[in-house]
Amino acid sequence: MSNLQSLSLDTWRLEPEVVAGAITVRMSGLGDMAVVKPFADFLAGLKDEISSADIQRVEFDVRNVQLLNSSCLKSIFNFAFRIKAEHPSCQMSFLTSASQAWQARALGPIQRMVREQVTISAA
Amino acid sequence: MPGKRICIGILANSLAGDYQSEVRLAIERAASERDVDVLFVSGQQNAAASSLALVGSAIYSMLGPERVDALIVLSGTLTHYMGVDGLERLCQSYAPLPVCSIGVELPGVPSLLVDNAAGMEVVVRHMLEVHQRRAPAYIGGPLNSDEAELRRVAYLKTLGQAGVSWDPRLLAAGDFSAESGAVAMRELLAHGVAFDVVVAANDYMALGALEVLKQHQLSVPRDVLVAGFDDVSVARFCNPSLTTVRQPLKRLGTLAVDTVLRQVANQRVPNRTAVAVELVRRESCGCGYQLTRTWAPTASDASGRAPALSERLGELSQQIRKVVAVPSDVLQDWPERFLDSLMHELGGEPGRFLQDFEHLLEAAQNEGVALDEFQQVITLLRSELPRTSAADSTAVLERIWHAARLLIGSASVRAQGRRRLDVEAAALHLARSGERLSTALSMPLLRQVLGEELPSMNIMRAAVALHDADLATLKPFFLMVDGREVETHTAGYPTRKLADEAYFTSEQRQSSFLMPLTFEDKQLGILLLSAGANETLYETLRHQIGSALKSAALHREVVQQTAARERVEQESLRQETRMAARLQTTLAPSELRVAGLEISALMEPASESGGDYYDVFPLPDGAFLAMGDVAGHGLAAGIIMVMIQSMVALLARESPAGSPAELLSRLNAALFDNVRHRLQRDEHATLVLMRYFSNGRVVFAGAHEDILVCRADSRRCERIATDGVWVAALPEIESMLVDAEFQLRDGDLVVLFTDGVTEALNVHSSLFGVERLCSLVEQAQDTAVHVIRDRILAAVHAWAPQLHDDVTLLVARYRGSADAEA
Repeated sequence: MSNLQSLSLDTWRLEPEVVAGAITVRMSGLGDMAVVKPFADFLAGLKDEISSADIQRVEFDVRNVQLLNSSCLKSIFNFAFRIKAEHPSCQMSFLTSASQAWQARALGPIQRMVREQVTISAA
Repeated sequence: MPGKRICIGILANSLAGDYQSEVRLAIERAASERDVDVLFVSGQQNAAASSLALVGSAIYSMLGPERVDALIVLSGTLTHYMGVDGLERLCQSYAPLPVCSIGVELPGVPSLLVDNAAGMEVVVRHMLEVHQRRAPAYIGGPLNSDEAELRRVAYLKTLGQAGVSWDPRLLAAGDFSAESGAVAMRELLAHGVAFDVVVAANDYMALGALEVLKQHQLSVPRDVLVAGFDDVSVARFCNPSLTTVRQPLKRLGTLAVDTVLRQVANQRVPNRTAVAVELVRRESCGCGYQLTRTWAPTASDASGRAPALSERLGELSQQIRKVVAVPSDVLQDWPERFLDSLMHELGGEPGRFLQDFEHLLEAAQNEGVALDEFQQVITLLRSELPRTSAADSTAVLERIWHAARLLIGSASVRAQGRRRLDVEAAALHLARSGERLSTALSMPLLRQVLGEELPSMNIMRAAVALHDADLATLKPFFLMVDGREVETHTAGYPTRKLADEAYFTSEQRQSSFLMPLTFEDKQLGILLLSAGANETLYETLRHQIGSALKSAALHREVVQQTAARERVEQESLRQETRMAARLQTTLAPSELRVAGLEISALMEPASESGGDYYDVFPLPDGAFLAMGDVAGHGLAAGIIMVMIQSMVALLARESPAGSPAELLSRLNAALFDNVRHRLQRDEHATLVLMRYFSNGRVVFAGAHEDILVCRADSRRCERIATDGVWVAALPEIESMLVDAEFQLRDGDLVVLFTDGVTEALNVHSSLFGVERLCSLVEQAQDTAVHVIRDRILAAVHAWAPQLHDDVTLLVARYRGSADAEA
């Protein structure tokens, strides 16, 4: 049974769903300074879940995210980098909005730095 | 308006103990009948430390004419702690208040004394003469107790008078506690000297001795007889029940009230009043069993002719009065009325006796009488009356005695049940108050809990006052009158006032407990609680409130310390931020002259510095331009920004021909090592490095916000993405960096910015955004670069009421020649 809990703040919401060895995290709202700490904590829990449940695929659905500031991006990069080090077979993908090009551009450096395991797609 | 009611203070070592409880109840009854207020004052016996210590004894010196008109001192409970001399000095300090001592004779103080010597003599003679014992052992009381010494001397004197020799190895001593009695009993047994009776200087030590005898398989009374002194309530209920000397505690209480009231009225009172004691024979000397056997009616008794009941009323009244200890004047003539009722029953009023007896039992229970003692009355009358009655009355009497015994039994069960319910209710109240008080970690919450819990325990008046730096003054903390919390307006008052006047102002007679509030050995303040609750509550409640006060004070201290630490940390952070902002702004380039470019730039650090960076390094054929943002805030971000600035400055000067990708790769290697290994941090930075050539060619690399180029010909902005990677995130990024380029034409504008611009939020949490920025640039493109810069900045400020990140802007217009462009 998953220990991963949803995170719901005033302007920031994370809803994880574990299905058949994969986790989807639906993200929405503003990733500003107010959410940096809870977001980092959530990603730490997500990493633990990946370790304990042998998760092979994580998808972040960021289509409803209006902002990911540099500190939130840093948290995502740190998460991706740890997954790369500890779970090299786990794939991470980011589903971005085709109408929100900034999402793919903001996440681009992460994809380029963890090229083997991170993909970005738009819908 | 009625005059002020007299208030009598009663001093004892603590609330706990049968002796204290019974005397207090007697005083309470007498005071109630005389419409006098009572203030029962107790210290706190320190169980953890020496039993001689009395924590909070300062409470006794807080009494004075401000609140009491006279004092009754339960001296026997206090000399154990402060000695006779100490108690004498304390009593003298109350002058000119009238004082009465119970139990110990104090010079100059009217004293009510039980006849300790006579009591000890009667119990010892009983053992020697009735039970024919010749090898007695004795457990004496503490050496500093006058009562204990009187009893010890009387014991030895009685043995001498009876011609019984005593072995010094059969003399032991305790401190009046059951535990010390057990220890003394073990000592006596360890000597191996045979004994057939043990007399203890008080009941509790006798009870301790009984337990040890049982453990050694010695039967009481078959092998050894045991007797105590005082007749505490548990003496009746232990197994076997304890033969003892009854102190007339209730009588002492009533006498004490009358003594001080006479003093208050300036009447003379005797300096010394001795009150007789009596032997109570129970099972531990064998008499309990004998009574049952010898008092059974016999055939010859039943058939004999003797004087009528009416002729023996006086004699029988005296006998049954001795059997039952009735405390109050209310039931003073109960034996006469009891026998009168019996005569009416026998004279032809069937049911009269049982009806009256039921009322008597109820009244006796209300007065705290042990109802089982009436069984002995029935036993006695059953033995005596057949000799005085006609034979045909015997059957009637037997039915009456049977019914009377059933009445006593059911009344006893009801009384026990009521007491048990009271105790259970008190335990529940205490459990709840303990839980709530222990979690009331703030003073206001503690007051609220007190205001809610005390009335539910039937404590309708309460005052909690805390000592200031010294014990001479008190600060009111909580005041409740008639079940409602009352606001106090006094900041403090002399300790001898004890509480706000409102506590003591009442048309109803008041009875209260005054106790010290302590935590460990520290005196916190005082607690005043009105009587009315089960008396077992008060002592525990005092502990709970004392602990809660200390916890709340500690919590407040922690909160204050935390707040102070946070203030220091915040100030430190502010200083860091100011330093970081200074670093950023000081290192911003002052000279922006680059061939072919009109440049205007600014950096506006946020309140919490965001680590923004921009720079311009002119070269003979153009310049290096850079802009970046360290992920994170504060001093660390500022320091990393300074590192980036230094490295870019060095590389730009050292390798003017180097490509941006190559320089960034070299910068990254050094920066990664500094940040990750030396600083042990995890910051990274967005950074775009642009090599501008005076012919309008721009080569760039890195990952940062888009580069905006507003074309002079189309008058529209192009967004040129920077598709590299961050610096300081990975040790090696050479393979991930590529140089890209674009061409500027005359009049084109280049705008570099950080996320402080585009991520500025308005009151509706909407982003300023890149589109809005582009639109602004397009609208202002014909104006000077510094005007464009200022308009953007003004727009950002207008958009966002508060900026949480640095805002950095660089606006450059290319003024190149056609030749150069070619």
